[in-house]
Amino acid sequence: MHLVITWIFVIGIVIIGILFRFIAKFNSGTNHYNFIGFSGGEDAFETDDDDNDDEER
Amino acid sequence: MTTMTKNVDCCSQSDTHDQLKEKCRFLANYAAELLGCGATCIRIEKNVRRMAQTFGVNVEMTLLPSHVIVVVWDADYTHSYNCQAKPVGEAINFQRNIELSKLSWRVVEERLSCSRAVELYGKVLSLPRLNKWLVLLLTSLANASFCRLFGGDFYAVGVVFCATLLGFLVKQIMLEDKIDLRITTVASAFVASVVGASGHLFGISDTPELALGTSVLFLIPGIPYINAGSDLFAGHYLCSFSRFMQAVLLTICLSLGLCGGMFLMQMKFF
Repeated sequence: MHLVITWIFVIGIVIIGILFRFIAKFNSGTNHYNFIGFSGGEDAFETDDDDNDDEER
Repeated sequence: MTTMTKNVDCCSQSDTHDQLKEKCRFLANYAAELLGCGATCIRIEKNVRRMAQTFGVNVEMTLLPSHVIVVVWDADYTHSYNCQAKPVGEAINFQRNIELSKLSWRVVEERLSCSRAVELYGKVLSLPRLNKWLVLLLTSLANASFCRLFGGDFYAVGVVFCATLLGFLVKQIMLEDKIDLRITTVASAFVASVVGASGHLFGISDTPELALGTSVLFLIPGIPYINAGSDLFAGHYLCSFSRFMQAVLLTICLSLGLCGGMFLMQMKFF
């Protein structure tokens, strides 16, 4: 009986691992920003360099 | 007048150099790609020499297990260019092998220029591989057929089909993740042998030992063994030994995985 349990355990782990991998691969194919609720694209990384403070001085 | 003659000589030498360079780089990359696809050394030599003859150059090649060194001479043996190339991928690809061989014949038959050959070579490289799900299904069917061929009953054939399906799927996934081929072989053989042991475990087949034995056949490195033999007969001893050692290592890994599965399922080895 314990051999059957071992067999089911091993096959189960393999199948679950494969399923997890497929799910992870499917998720990595989507837009990362949308997935985590982040709406920005380039705007999100806007820095202060565009202000050109040196010229105003 | 003397200066003009010198300038003309320099230009023609530069042209010769550029042409030799283009041909040498193409032939080196072509040879490296064939080596990576699993072609034998004799095939690589013949294909490259065939094309070099059409291009009007003389070629000398050194085929090493992981590199190719090509030296191209012009027809008069006055100028030469040498180039080294390394195979990019190591996965055996029969389709690419065939297409590259066809390309070499096409160069000869249609008297193609080197630039046109480079263009067609790029198209061959961009051809997609066979659909991986189709390969998975066909490999499982082929391995199951082996079981039937060796006298297994239909339950054993079903067990082998499932074992190969899962084992090959594990192999595909691990190779996609760039895991070392040897570790992949151990894991894949382990999974296949555990599934293959279900004939013994559940008593669902009259030939469970055949199911277990044939469940790992898909991992046997047949091509490296055959190529090693071919290279040995052709006199390429370095490549032959390298391929043979690679095949032996993979066979050892397969055995480890199989023994691990049999040990876990408490099956007797002898």
